[in-house]
Amino acid sequence: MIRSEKTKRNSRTRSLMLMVMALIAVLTAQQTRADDDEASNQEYRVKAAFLYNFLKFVDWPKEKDANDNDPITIGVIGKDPFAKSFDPIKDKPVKNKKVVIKRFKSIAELKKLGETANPQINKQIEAAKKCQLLFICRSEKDALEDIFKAVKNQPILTVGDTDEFIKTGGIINFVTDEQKVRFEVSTAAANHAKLKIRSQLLRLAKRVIEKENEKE
Amino acid sequence: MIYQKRKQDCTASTTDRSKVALLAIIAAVAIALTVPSQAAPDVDQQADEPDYFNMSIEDLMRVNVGTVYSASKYGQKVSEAPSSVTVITADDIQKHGYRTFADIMRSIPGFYTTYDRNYTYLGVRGFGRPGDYNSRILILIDGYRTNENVYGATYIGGAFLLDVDLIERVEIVRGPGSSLYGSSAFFAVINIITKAGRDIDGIELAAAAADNQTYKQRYTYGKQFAGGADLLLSFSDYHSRGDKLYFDEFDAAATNYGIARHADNEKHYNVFSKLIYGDFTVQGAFVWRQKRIPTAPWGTVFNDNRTRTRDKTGFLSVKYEHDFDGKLGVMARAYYGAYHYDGRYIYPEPYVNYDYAQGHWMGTELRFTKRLGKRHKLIWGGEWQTDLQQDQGNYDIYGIYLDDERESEHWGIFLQDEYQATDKLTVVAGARRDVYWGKAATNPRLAVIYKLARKSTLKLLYGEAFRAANVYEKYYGDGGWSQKGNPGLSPETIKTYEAVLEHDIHDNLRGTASVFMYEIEDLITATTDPDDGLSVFQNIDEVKARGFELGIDGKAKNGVRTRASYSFVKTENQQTHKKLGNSPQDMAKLNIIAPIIKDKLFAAVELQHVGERETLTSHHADAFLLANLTIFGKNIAKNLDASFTVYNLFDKTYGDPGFSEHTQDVITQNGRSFWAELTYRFK
Repeated sequence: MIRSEKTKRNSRTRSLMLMVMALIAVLTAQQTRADDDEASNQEYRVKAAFLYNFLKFVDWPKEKDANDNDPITIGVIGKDPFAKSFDPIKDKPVKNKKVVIKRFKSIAELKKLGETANPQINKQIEAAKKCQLLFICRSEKDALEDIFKAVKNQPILTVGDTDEFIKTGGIINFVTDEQKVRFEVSTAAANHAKLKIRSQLLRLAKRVIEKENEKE
Repeated sequence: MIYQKRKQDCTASTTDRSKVALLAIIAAVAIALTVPSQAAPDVDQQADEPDYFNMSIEDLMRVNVGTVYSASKYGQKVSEAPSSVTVITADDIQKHGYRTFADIMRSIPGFYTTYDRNYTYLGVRGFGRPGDYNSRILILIDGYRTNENVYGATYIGGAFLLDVDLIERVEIVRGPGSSLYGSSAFFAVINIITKAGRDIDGIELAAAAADNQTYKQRYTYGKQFAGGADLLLSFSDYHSRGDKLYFDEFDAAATNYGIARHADNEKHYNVFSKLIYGDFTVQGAFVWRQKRIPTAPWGTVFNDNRTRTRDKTGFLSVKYEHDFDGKLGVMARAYYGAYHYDGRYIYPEPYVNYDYAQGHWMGTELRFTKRLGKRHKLIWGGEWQTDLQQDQGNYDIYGIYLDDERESEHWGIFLQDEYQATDKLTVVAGARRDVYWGKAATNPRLAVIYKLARKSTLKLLYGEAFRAANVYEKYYGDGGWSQKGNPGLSPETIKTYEAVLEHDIHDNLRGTASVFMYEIEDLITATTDPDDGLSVFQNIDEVKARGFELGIDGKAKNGVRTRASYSFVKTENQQTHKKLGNSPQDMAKLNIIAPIIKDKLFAAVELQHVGERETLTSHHADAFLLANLTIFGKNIAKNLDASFTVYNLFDKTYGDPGFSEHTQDVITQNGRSFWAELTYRFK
């Protein structure tokens, strides 16, 4: 502040104000410890609904949805944060198809077991390849490259919420902006997977990455 | 005089009635929004949660999920400062039929405008000073500082740089922002984020018509190309003949019985362009505006429409923004801006006075964002601006009364740390040092943000700010006619204390309550020198303001979007112990957008109550309650949107306080008026 020659009056009101502020701070500090689990549950209920919506705006190549009776499969790899979030999806078909959820073991955890777990990893991955949409949980941060390498060129919509997700080769990544869920899309990765993402969805993306290895 | 008296008589009852009515509406809406969603619990979900699977992606993106889990690399802008913040989106602008930036700002809790039929001035929390051309509120367009360098002004009416249809969102941050932004961020910082080409994705044509032969058109092209480049180009043009106006004060035979014809005419056009390529954004904007002045200010001839002001301003900015692996964020900008004002004032023949101002400036800024460990986030940087030209002049055929040429430079450096002490507690501390006119100022800020629970946050905020006197306040004089300069002016300073409580009533409804106290010293004030009767700016006033704001903002499951607020402030000049002029003690606002046919047809209602405001003659402009209604149809035919607005629905007669240049104590505002607009998109 520029020094003012004037002496300050009203220090009483100011200290009163500060006291009130302090009092509020102290009182509220006694409040209950917040339920973080509940919060993140809500976050994932919202994200589950996003995934459901994504199915409507992405077109898979013919070979992937050949049979009309086959359901659309959403796979979840890793430490599943969704809990019961997907429960309402049972009665909500997309493109006239049922949507089913499949859960897969954490590749990152299996990797820690060493070479012996390789057959198990392969089994999980092969099963995961049958999904149309694959949500890769944050627990897989260190296994992202392995997973993407395994599903490379497969028509699978990979979705995650990890910082490095797009850079490593994922297609859609959730970000949180002002406590709201937004998402970014790599059309470069989608092209590799031969998936067509409709412009309605791209328009809503917080960021569209068109070039591979594009920074940010 | 009779007019004045009549107005005072009816003041009390109108104020009370409208106040009560509005409060009742706010309460009713708050209840209406809260109750139904709790009454209809979803089996598998939280009792007060909507069924997300029935929501569109657009709606899902509005759900507040309550946790900020990740070190999100984006969206952490400097403007997301810990403060009391309101956000307005393109959707609000479209559905409420906002035409100017002033229309947007009137709906914001704590803000009000004053229109003297020449310029529109923005007031906030009881401060709407005469002779202040919006120099105490910093307005940024995509981070570029729009306030020019002669009056420190950003015009928010017709002379605003942007067509509001190009705005993606507006972030209104209350309280001082000098610790990051330096001068002018005195009462608030407003950051406008513009649309990108991909938001338009094709060609958009808009045509509007309104009463008094008012027409507007807009041509916008926007595209994101395969190579990644994103381009937006837009041109808008507005023309209004204006109404025939009656002014009581001039009701005499010599002045056409108070009727001014063809004297409220306004024309303006804007150009805007934005190119994003990789990490670079190049932006350019320009606006030209001419307004004829019907109020006969500064003793000009009444009912002579040759009295007019012309303003043009523009800028060019090149920005580079890059995030290095989420570890270091860099923003660098270089900009150039220009402003020109030219006023023509008609006096009895043959006397015509010309007044002008000309400003040019360029500058550069640099900002770094870095995370230190898991808990610290540092922002630091600097800014330097050179004012190449800050000239003012005044002349007529008899002589030159003012020919003032100035140039200056200023710079500032700042540092802020956002320290996440625990999961619940964040402390933000920062300071900025500025050097203006060879004088230095340091402005600190401290904020304590405490998450009480998932749904509640408490913010305790302290901030200081300053505003350096502008060249208009320092050097404007018109040769002993009305005003003289005061080169010795010091910056004015402010200290603010604020406590904000934000609570998510449910997922899509947020309630905010805040209490604040402002202490201003050396407020630069227009005064009259008793020795020569000339108007002169002086650092005299010491002002204190205390108040509170209550608001709700949300969108219900059925698609109804509501914003409602009540604000109260008491301003007091510490020498005279009087309330400031043009300072409404209370304001209440209600904005509702409701779908009539889902995704197709919307009705938007806006109610604004502004309390009584004292005028310069110690009379007052009455409190008023204003209602606006917009019907908006989306895709009424393929790619065609239509909207129809009635402003001042109940044809309420109300006025804004006049300033020292006006004979009118109160300047009457428009009665009921219409606006119809069609927007067509070529994809």
